[in-house]
Amino acid sequence: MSYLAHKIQICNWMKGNEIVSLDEVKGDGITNDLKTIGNTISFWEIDELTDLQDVAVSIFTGRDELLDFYVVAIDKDEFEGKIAFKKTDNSDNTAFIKFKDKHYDLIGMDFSKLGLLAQMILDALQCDDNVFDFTYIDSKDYLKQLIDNGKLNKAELKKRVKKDLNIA
Amino acid sequence: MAKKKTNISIGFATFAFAAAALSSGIISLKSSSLTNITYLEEFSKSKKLSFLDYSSDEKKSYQNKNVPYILETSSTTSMREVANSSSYFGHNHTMVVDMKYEEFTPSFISRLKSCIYEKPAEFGETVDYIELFKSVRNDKNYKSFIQSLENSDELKLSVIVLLSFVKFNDTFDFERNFIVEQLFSSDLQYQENALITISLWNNKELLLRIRDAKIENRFLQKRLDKIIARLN
Repeated sequence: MSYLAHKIQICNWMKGNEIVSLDEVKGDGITNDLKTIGNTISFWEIDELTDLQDVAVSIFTGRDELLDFYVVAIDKDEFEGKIAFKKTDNSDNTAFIKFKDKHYDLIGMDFSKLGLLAQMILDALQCDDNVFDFTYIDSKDYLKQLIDNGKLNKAELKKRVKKDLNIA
Repeated sequence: MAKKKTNISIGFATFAFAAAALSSGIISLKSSSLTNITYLEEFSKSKKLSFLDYSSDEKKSYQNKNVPYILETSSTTSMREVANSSSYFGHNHTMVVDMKYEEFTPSFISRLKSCIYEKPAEFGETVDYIELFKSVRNDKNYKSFIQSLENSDELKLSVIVLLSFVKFNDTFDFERNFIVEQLFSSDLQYQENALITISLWNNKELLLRIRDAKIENRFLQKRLDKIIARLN
C-alpha cells in the first residue's frame, strides 16, 4: 500500500479535539496547507505509515527554517478518479536521498479539487496513525544519524539547519 | 521555470502602534514572484528614504536604473492586493509601499515567512526580517505592546511565530509569559504556534510554567507531553 504525504498544521483542520467538517476548514488550511503553485500541490510518496518520520525529515530538509509540523498520509488509491498526480523531479527540495525520486505533484488543482483534497485530509485525520508529529529538537539526533550513515546529503541541507547542527 | 527578478521596496514610514518610536526602515525584497520571494534586506539607516517623498526627478532617475516603473501606495490593503496579483510579477518593477506596523497581519507574516523560507534566495543571501523584529523588541514601548496583544488577535499570532526565531536566553520574561499563556487559551492556532516556539526554545526553565497546561486537542497535547518529557 502506498500513501501520499503532506505537511499541515493541525489547527486548520480541527476544533478542540474534533475534526471539523469541510465547511469549517480554516482559510489557512486551504491557502497555506494546500498552497498551489501553478495549480499543483507537492506531495511525497511513502510505502508504509512507518515511513512517516522519514518523509517528515525529507520535507524538513527542503526548508530553510527550524520548525515543528505535522505530516498527514493519504492512501494513494483515494486519489483515483478524483485528483490526478504525476511523479515530478523535486530532488533539489530534499536532502534525504531515498526520497529524491518520491516526489509527486497533484495536478490540475481547481476549486472543486481543493475541496476534494481537503475532505481527503479530514478523512485521513480520523486515524491518528496517518499523522506524524515532527519536532525538530527531538529529531536532531536522528538527523545526525542519517547524515553519518550517508542517507542525508549534508551539503544539501539548508543554511539554518546546518548552522544549528554545527555542520560546516 | 525561469526566474525573473523583481525588486520590491517597502517603506516603513510609520509604525502606528503606540510606538511611533518603533524603528522604521526600508526593506527590499527580491522576488521572482510574490509567492516566490527570495530575500528581504533591511536598508541601512543612511539609505532610509521614503520613496513616497521622491520628487518626480528622483523617480525619473530611479526609473532610469533599469526599473520600468514605480508603483506607489500608502495603503497596506493595496499592498496586499497588489501582492496577491501575480500578474504584477511577470515584470521587473519596484513597488514602494508605506506600511504601518499595525498592519503586520498573520497572513502577511506567514506569507513572507513562507515565501522566504520555501524559496531561498541565491546561495549566500540572508534574510534580515528577523533583524527588523529585533529592532522592534529593543524599543521602549515593546513590553506594553506585548501586554496589549491579548486585544489584537491578528498581531498576536505574528508575534508568537516571530518569537520562535529568538533564542530563549535572549527573550524577556514577559515574552516567555506571553507565549506560555497561549497554551492556556482555547484557540488551537495560538496553542499550536506557541508549542512550536516553546519546543524550539527548548529550555528547562519553561518546565514549571508548562507542565500544568492541558490542551483539549490530542495531537497538540501529545506534542506538549513530548516537550515536557524532553525537558524533564
